[in-house]
Amino acid sequence: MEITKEMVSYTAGLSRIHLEEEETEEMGKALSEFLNYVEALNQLNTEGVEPLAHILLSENVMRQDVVRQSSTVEEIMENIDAKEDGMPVVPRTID
Amino acid sequence: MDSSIMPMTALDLSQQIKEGKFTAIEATKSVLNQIKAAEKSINAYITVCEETALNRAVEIQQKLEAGDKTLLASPLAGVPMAIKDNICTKGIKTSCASKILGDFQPFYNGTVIERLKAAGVVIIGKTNMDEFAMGSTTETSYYGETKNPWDLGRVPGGSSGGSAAAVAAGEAVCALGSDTGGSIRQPAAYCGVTGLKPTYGMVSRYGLIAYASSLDQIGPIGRRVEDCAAIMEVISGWDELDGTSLPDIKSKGSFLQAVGCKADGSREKDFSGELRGIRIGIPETTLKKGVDEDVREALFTMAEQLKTQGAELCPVSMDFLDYVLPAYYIIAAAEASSNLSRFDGVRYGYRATEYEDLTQMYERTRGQGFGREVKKRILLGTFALSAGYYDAYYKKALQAKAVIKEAFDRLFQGCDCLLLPAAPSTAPKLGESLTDPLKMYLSDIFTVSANLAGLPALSLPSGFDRQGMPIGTQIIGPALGDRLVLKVGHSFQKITDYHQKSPGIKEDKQAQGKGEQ
Amino acid sequence: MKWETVIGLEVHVELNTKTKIFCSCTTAFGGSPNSHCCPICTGQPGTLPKLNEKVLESAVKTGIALGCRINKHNRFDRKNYFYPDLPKAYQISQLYLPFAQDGCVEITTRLGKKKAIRIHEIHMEEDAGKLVHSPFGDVTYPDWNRCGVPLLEIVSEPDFHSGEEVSAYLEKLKSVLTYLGVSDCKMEEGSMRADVNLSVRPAGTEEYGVRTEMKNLNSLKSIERAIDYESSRQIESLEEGKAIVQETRRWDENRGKTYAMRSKENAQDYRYFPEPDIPPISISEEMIRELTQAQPEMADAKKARYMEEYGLTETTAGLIAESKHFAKLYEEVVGLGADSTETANWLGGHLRYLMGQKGLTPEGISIRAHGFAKFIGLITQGRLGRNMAKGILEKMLEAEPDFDVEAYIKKEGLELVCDSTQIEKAVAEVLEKYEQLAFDYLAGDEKLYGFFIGQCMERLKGKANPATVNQLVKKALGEIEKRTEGR
Repeated sequence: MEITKEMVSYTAGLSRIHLEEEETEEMGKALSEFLNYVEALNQLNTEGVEPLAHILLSENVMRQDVVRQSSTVEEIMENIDAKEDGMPVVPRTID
Repeated sequence: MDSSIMPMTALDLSQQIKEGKFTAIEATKSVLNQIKAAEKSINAYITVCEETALNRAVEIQQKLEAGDKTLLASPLAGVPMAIKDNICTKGIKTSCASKILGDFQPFYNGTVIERLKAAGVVIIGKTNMDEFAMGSTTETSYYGETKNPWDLGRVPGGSSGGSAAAVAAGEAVCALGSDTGGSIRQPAAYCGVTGLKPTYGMVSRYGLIAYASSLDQIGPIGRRVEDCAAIMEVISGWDELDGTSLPDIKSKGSFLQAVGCKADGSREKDFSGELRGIRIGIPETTLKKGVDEDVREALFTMAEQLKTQGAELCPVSMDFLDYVLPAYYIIAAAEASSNLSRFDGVRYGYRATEYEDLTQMYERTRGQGFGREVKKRILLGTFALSAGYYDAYYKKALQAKAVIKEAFDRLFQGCDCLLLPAAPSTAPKLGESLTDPLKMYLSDIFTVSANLAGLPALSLPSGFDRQGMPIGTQIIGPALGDRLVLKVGHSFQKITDYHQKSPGIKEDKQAQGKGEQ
Repeated sequence: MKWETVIGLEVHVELNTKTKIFCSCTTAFGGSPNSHCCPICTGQPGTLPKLNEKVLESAVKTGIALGCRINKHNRFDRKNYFYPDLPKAYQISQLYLPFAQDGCVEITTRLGKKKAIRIHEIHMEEDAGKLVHSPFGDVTYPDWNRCGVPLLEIVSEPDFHSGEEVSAYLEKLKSVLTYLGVSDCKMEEGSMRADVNLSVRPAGTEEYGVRTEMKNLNSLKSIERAIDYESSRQIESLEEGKAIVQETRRWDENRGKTYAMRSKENAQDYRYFPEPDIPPISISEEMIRELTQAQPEMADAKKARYMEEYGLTETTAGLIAESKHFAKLYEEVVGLGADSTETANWLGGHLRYLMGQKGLTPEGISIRAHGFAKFIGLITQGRLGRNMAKGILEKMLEAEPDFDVEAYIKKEGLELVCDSTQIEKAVAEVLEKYEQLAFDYLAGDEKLYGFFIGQCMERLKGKANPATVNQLVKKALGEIEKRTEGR
């Protein structure tokens, strides 16, 4: 499958990854190459096969509704550089 | 390293510490010394926790001397162990070998870490890996490549290359790795050590920084099968924090029992390792192409040796192997694209310094923070899940996964476990794989199917190639067959000595295959 | 041209479980920023979700109550998008296999019109955090306390044609969910939120027009206003020959207008896929049966019972039954021996009126059954006049729950004199003083009757039960009539 520059940019945008000009080209090439490679799957007849999302046999794994002590605000903020008063700081969101 | 500790297995070391022949402090110091000696050439570690490890060793030693029952019953008390750097360790930098995690220090431990600590293990440091476990060579690490202790010009394999190399070079007695598509087994093979990818759900993933959640498993790497069994004994079992962890099916000591040991790690006296009644599948036709001759020969020799232990050999067919890599790479990339979205510069790790708005902050942080291979796989995964392509790629891959699982179910009706190379060849030279990524992907051909089907797979040393590089062969079992593959592997190690070779004391290849003990 | 508005609703309801949907942090409202958080709900690396069993139970209860088919095979999916209120950068939701589908509820509008609204599906998901915007600068502060609070998203079919129908539906959902005890449905605290999808089409046509989605509607009043505004806006645009753009619009309560939100780049491609960290959920026949049997009596059934058992009018019965708290109060008060009709009239009448004035909700009032039963008792015993009672009720609404209404009216001297000898004496005095007027009355001047009553009341300083006064005046006049006839 041919991967256009626009497709790479769209995908990079969805992934929130900034690509430099030459990276875009390189990624486009790698994507095409990969997609051609996985074409092999089309040889496999999967008609009527239910997609298998979970390999596990287990089902209904749940926990009880019992409150446990939350982390401290300090712990939550420990690895954050940009913070004020127990809250992280991010660029203003729109809406 | 102290030559008296160097060749010792974790089990033996712990027994001797408990018996007072060594102290936990001596063991830790000895390993730290070896790290100092070898690290410059190997680069197996991202972080070495010298001080905390020594403090911990002192604490364990005191407890042992005070007669602490839990520690005296533990098969791993006092053992210095290395942890792959994608497993969260409270207060110790956990980086996934990525720039984007910066100096991230989790404020929580992974479940396996809690369990190891309770068993008296000394965590010696965090090992190098491919960035976010994406790679088969440990060359995509932000912290530089790890080198193969057998040949410094070659890769140690990956992604758990640091863990495998550390064990091979004596920089750790044993280690934890993680395996998404072969990341424990292939580096174990390349470095001449033993590694197990457990059945999916056998070991809690809580605290393992996810690459592909439906495929990831934490597992042990050691010098021999017994050590892997001992580590499994400690880390496996149901965990309330992981919804995909299996309900407890092990009884205490059952992994160790499979390799002839008691729950505390001491050996049963009359364990023969006999394999009568066990049918081992050999996929002869599968091995006809794309596999180095030495690798193929090693597998056939291993089969014959297992036969001498009473096992029965039977030919099996694996005609689905053509589909495993495409299915694996689509599923892994798709899940990764979602799992790695949380690295956005808000809560931890690296944040770009210049940006004008939120979107730019995200895009620059992630553009600068992730390495090339990671970016590529995120883009692949995003693409495979995006509107209009889901059915063609992701859904198709999940269907292929269903087909593969069924094929394994059928296969295991005819045999109890099967042999497969850990990789088509031995460790390639540094830099070789980076130029041809598809070739690197191909090196996973024999390992990924166990992840897709959730099966236990043990990789153990089974010979050396003409260049003297170690060869690994896998024993793959049906789901929950972890004990069986350990048993077969242990039986093999009882009659061979490949696993006893180490990079420094490599001998003439002709001498291989002799019994021990 | 005549236009028809077509509306579909996506209602998000926070479930009132103790803990979050995927971790054991409290769901308590409020709390200082980021204090109800843990590694799991803040998306720390390596952490995993684990489903709260109570969420599933509440969800299935709701599905049953809203007449849905409960899907036995369930799964969670990831909805991927980047935003600072969503730490994992994906929301765990259900796209491919929602737990409930094809439901239906009957609504009754304010004008008494009944209508069936179809429910397309209900799914479980996790809430996102809150974003606090800096008042000065260009920054935002995420507060993740709300991250992981369990939500049900109830998606209706486009069956509404007016804001009034939408209001009735939301009231109905609130009634059902509070009866089930699964949610508080407090719009003001955001535990019930509605997104409105609206389009218009020429009346009588089948094809849907291009729709817009309105978010951030946090009261019934603003929903109705927003719907009125948005349908007029769309109709005007179409009449001017302009096309409607499919977009998300935000309701500005102050300006009374909707405006287009700046469209986020790529916002619509959520890349859903099955959540690998949560094994499939299967809902057994047995669970469905048990939860069906355990369904409480809901508003409609209660209403019918009140009409049948207590002879209430449909309107009064409906007003009381709509709210779980109201119905509970009613049943408790009647259970304490209070007159069922008198109680119903006060609950459905003046109490509701006062609550409306004060902006109180049934669950927010301080009146308790015991006090209210006493209040009703005082009225039916004739010790508290109805006009006076209205003021007392207002007093009760403002007082503490343990307010003693009897002691209060005694202390304030508001109790009616019900001693009939006192009243008889007053009546006798009045009729004696105005004997001629009594004869005039008996001769046919009926207007004088009110005068006698007024005079009696004046003598009794207004503290007599008007009914008793009425009765005794009539009786005394009758006796005078008998006497004169006898002459």
